[in-house]
Formats: sequence, structure tokens, C-alpha cells
Amino acid sequence: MICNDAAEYISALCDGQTIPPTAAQHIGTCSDCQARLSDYLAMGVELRRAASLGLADAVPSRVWTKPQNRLATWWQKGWGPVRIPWAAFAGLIAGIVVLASALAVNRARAQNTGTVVLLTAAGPSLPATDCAVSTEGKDQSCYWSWKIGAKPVALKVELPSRDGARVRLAIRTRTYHPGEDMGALTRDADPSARLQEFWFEPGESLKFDVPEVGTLTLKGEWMDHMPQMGMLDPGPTELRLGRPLLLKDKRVVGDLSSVIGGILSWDEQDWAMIFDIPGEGRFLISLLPMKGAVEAHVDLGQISFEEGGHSWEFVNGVPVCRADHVWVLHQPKLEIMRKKIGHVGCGNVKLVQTEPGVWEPQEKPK
Amino acid sequence: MFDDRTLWTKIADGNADAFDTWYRKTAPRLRLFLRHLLGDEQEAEDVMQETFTQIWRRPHRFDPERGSPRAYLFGVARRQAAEWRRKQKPTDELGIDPPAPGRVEIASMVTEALSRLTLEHRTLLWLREVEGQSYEELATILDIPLGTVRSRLFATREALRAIWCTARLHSGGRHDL
Repeated sequence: MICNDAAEYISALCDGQTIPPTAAQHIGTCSDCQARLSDYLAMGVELRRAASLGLADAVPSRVWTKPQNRLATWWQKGWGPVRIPWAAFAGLIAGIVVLASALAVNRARAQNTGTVVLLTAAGPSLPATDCAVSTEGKDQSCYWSWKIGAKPVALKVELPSRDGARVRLAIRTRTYHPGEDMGALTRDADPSARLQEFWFEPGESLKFDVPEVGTLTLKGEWMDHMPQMGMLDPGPTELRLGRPLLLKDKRVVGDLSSVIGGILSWDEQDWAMIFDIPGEGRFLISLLPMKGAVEAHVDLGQISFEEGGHSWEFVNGVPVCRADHVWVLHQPKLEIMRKKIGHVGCGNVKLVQTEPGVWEPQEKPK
Repeated sequence: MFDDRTLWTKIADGNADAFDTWYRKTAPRLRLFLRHLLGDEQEAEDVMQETFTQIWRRPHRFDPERGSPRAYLFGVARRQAAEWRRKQKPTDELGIDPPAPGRVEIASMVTEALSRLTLEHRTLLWLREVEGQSYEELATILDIPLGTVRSRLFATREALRAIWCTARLHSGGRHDL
């Protein structure tokens, strides 16, 4: 641990956060870090002192007029008489009839001709994520996975039936222990998953509880086509994969579309995506250099690298990241997925900096 | 004395007395925050009044699931201040009012240093150090990911420390960077 690495933790200490033991040990013995801590604390104290001096002035009194009163005034005015020529009155009525007809047609179109529902899932402290699902195809489903707090959680939504503008949602949720295969929920009806069914009208918002995690929210919107999702530039720290295939020496050795049917996106730089490919082992992909990883070239949706005397490529349906390279850590002997269930799997793991410019997975794969 | 949440249920029902209680309780701190953000007392007063007016007219925009009423108040004020600055000044340069007689103490070295930071950094540090907002509340107010709050606070403290230490050096104070 060096002072530069410890500096951010000093700031976190001032905010009442706990920090890693190595950082705490370094700060306790390093005079430069203690000087920085002392300065940070002094700055905070000085700001609060200045604020205390500035709080003496009273604020001006105000009268808070109730919005209802203002509406009432308008309501009363609305009942008053008004002079209008007969021709203008007739034109007004005709206009209302035309507009009302157009609205009725638009509403009917919006509700009845859509065959795709754009679902947006969000949870506590999580950004909203979109997924489109068709009401016409078979086995159409959306899948999300997050880490909420310290708890990995997966959500799968299927549309078993439709009744006019409503759809029946089958929502499966499951929480996991770190290291468990979160992709199991995508492949079949995991018996451990919690199933809830709801009638849902796109345009409304549906809230449902997931034990140990909290409330998740699902919003929906009818569309008349399957949108091309994820074609915009990824964010600065975003890593994004869509229906990826893994090629080894130009041959397909892994089809991850079974676990990533849409787009898997992660917008935290200090995380790595994990993929388990039966027979090939585990692959970790990150924007940060991981210990033992090779640098892979990125060209839009293609990640290519040389490793172990082979050429490898991850081929995706979406641009992967803004950078022209990512880091891939291949662990060929780690084949827990093949031994356990014989399927490909995916997940993610937080990275921690172990030395300057070097990062390692926080929870080492077992 | 009601807490903010209890007051808010009354405010959401259009209770003017409850809103006035909340206004008197929170306005002094909000005005001080805006003074340091905008660098002008009159502008701070105007933005503060506009903030309260907006919240009073549309109290249902507050979502209790996204944080406390106080965090919501500072979030609305921050957006109002940013909008005000956008209309008034094209750059992020701040014209701090010269300290009025009797206010010399307020314009201390660290607040002078604070005024040299960017609007975003000033907002973040003030809300953390003076208002004691949590990382979650800061993420909501500033509309940034939770994971970014810690690193931005660190960057802000470093920037302030550099300015502050330089100022102390020039004024003959301690300099132990």
C-alpha cells in the first residue's frame, strides 16, 4: 500500500466509512497520510464553523397560498358567461369532434397493434434497465441480474398470455450466494425460484417484493416492433455484451446466447464479467488490468486476444465499450460449471486493487 | 416538534402551516448552501424562494422511496441554481461578494478556497461536510451513481486541500503537504 492508494480511503474515513485493513494499517503508520487526514478533518471543521456563523440571519416570512384556492378561482371564472360569435362557436364544436375522433383512433392503435412489450426493471439503488419481449414468439423472456447490497439476485419475466391490452406476467426471482450459477434461472424453470404472476397493463407500474432484497419495479410500454437495443455508444465505464459467441482458433466453442439473450451491461469500472464455458474454463473480462490477464483488442462488438497458443474471439451483437481494449483473464482449469450442470454460465465480480495498476477479483472463484 | 416525514405527509395534503414550519426549519441552511454555490446573496435568496415555491406547488413530485424530504429540497435547489447559473453566466467562474462588515469571519480561508472549486465540487463537499448527507442521498441529489460519490468526494477534498494549503503558505501559515 502506498500513499496514493490510501488517499481515497482517508477521504472515506472522514465520511464515517470503514476501509480495508491494509489501508487502515498504512494510514496509522504513515506521517504523510496522517497529515492529509488532519487537513481533511480541519477543512470539514472550518466549513461547518463558517456555516454556523452564516445561519444567524432569519428568513423572510411568506404566505403559502393553497394551490386549491387558485384552482377554485379559475373554476369560478370558468362558470362565468362569455360572448362568442355563432360562427366561432360552431367551428369550436367541429374542432372538438375532429380532435376527439383522432384521439380515439390513436389510443386504439397504441393499445391494439403492439406485439412487443418494452419492459423496464429497476430496484433499490439500481438504474432502470430495458428489455423487449414479444407476445407472439415462443419462449420469449427477459432476464436481469444484479447485486443488491451484498446479495446477488436474478429476475426472469415471461409473457405466457395476452388479453387485449393486458399481458399475463410470470415473474421468477431468486437470490443467490456468491459463486452460485446465476444463469440457471435463464435456462429453465429453476425450482428454487419464487414465481409470482400478475395481470399487467403496459403504461402502468408494477411493484413486487423479493425476500432479502426489497421491492423491484417493472414498467412496460407497448411497441409495434422489436427495438434495436444497445446500439448507442456504451457509457465511459460501461461494459456491454449481447448474445456473445466464443471462438477458439475460428471455431465456435461457446454460445452464450442461452444466458445472455438480450444485452448484459455493467456500468461500474471496477467489476469484471465472468463467463464459464464447459471444456474451456472461466473467462473474466474487465476494463481494468487484472493480474494474469491479457490485453484484448476491441473492435465494436468483437473482443480478440491471443492466449495459451490459441486465438480467441468474443463476438457480440452490440458495441462492447468505448475503449479499444479490455483485459481478459482466462482460467482454463476452473470448470465448475461443466462439472456441476454442464451449461455455460455468467456472472460478475468486484475487483480490488492489490498493487498500483493491478486489480484482482474480490471473491476468488472457488 | 414533527420530524420531516410527518410534516411531509401534511404538506402533501396541501397543509400550508406544515409547509411554513418546514420552510422556517430548512430555509436558513438552504440559503447558506446557495450562497456558497452562487456566490451572491440576492441570487441565493431568489433561487431559494423559487425552490420552495416549486415544491409547494408540486409536493407530489417528491418520492419518499428515493430519500428524505431534505435531500429532495437540496436536489431541487441544486438544479434551480444550475439553471440560474446557466442563464446568467456562461462559465463556472464565481464572483464572490466581498465580505460585508461583520462578515469577515465567514469569509474564512477555507470558504475562499471552496469558492475556487467547480460548482459540482462545491455542491458535493458542502452537502457532505455541512449538511451531513449520506452517500445514498448525495447520489440522489447529484444524480450520479452511488459508487462515484466516494471518488468524487476524494477528488474534491484533494482540490480544496491544494488551494487551501497554497493560501496558507502565502499567508505565512503551516504548509505540510
